[in-house]
Formats: sequence, structure tokens, C-alpha cells
Amino acid sequence: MTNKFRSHGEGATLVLSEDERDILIHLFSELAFFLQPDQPEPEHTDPLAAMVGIGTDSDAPEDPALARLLPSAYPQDREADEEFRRLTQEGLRQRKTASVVVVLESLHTESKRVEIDAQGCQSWMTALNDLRLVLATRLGITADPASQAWTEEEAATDQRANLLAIYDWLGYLQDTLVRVLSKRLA
Amino acid sequence: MSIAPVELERPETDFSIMPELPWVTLVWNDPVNLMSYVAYVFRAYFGHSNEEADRLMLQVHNEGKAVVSAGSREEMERDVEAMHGYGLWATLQQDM
Repeated sequence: MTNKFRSHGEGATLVLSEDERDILIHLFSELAFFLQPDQPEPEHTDPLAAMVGIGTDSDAPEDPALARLLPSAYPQDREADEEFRRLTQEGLRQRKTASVVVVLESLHTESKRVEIDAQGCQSWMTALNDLRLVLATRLGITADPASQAWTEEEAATDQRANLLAIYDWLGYLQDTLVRVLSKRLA
Repeated sequence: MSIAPVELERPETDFSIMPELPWVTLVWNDPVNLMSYVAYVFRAYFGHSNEEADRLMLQVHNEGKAVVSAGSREEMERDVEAMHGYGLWATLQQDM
């Protein structure tokens, strides 16, 4: 949790350990797959992916995580909502996927220092947010943290604890990037 | 006595002169999006000042939702689509 995004020219840099980079590559790869419409169910052998549930249900309206990435614009008007989805949903999927691809490309480096250009920073920021939205849905984070009430059994599971730690780390990373980019808006 | 058909004498509501209700974009609170990120999006997309972006972000956070833009339906659909692109939970409706 010691590394963060740092301003670098018009872009940013991020120093990652090998493990951290592997986790990010893994999760963003799953997210890219998850965003694809109507893909056949992948055969996950990876426990993390199976636990997160990414890519195991690509039915847009039914999967709660995908529903959070592609939310309803007209929750009270089914007809208008369907029309809006018909017009915008595919493009939204494609833009989100494109951002994840940019992130994955920047992670495939031999160096521990990931270098990201100005446009890449935008992709990283939104992709980190989308990844956190998916993880939060899998973790059942649907109300404010103050009103969270895990059962002791749930809180005690290692898998859940690991996933929560990753979720918190991603939030920390995203926040440091937002701070870098916010300074440039002024 | 007029011989015009009855329906022409009936008082009519002229819908063309009724002002059209404006549409609004609402952003809803959720426990995932960072406060810093939501304020950033309001500044970057709507061009709000730091203070206005923070005010709207806190309104979303404290009251559960905030109206972030108003205008034609087409304009609000563009804003909602943009908010969805950022991962914010946005809807549009006709203002009441």
C-alpha cells in the first residue's frame, strides 16, 4: 500500500511489485472478458476469478455487477430504458473495454515503473472505478460502509478478506490518480 | 345560433403554449465511488468550480442524490450516458 500514482509530465507513473502487477493484470483481464457481450462461460480454474465471479454470467440485465456497469437510465420507464440501452449500451461496453485494454497494455512492461500518458490516465481512472464496482457487487457492498453488517462467518473467510484487501488497495490507487488529475483541472 | 359542430365549440387546451417541463439528470449515491472521484467527474465533465463540484458531491453523499444538470431530454441523455461512462449511477427524468 505504499506506492501511488505520481504526476509525470502530462501523464503519471506507478511503481508496482511483481505481485501487484500480476493481480492487476489478472483482474483487468477478467474485467475485459466480463464486458464482452454473450460470451460462452469460461472454464475458470483460478480460485480468485471463480470467487470474484467475473465472467461466469454475462447476461447483462441479470448479473448485478454488469447491471451496475451498465445501469438503467430510466428505472421507472421500461420502454424508454430499453430504447436507451439499444442506442447506448454497446458503445458504453466498447468504451469501457477500450479503457481496460489501455490499462492492460501499460501493465505489460518489464519495468517495475508503469508509465502512463495523459489519455492513459483517464483510462486507468475509469477502469479502476469499473473494477471496484464489480468487486463491490461481488462483496455485497451495496450500502454505506457504516451500515455494513457482515456475519462473523463471512468476515472470517480468508477469500473474502483477501478480496476486501484488494478492493481497498484499488480504491487507494484510484484516489491517488484522481488527486494527480484534479490538480490539472484548475 | 351557431351551426358549427359541437366539438369545435368545446374549450380546448392548447398544448402548444404549455411550457415543456425540463428534464434533469440525477446522480445517486453509492458506497463505491470515491468522493474525490465524484467531485473530479463533476469538474471535468460539467466544468464546475471546485466549490460547486464539492457541493454537488456532498449533496449526493448526504441526501442520496442530486440534480447535476437540466435541459432537453436529448441533452440529459447525453449527460446520463457520460456519467455511466464514468461509472456513476445516473438517471434522467422530467422535473416535477
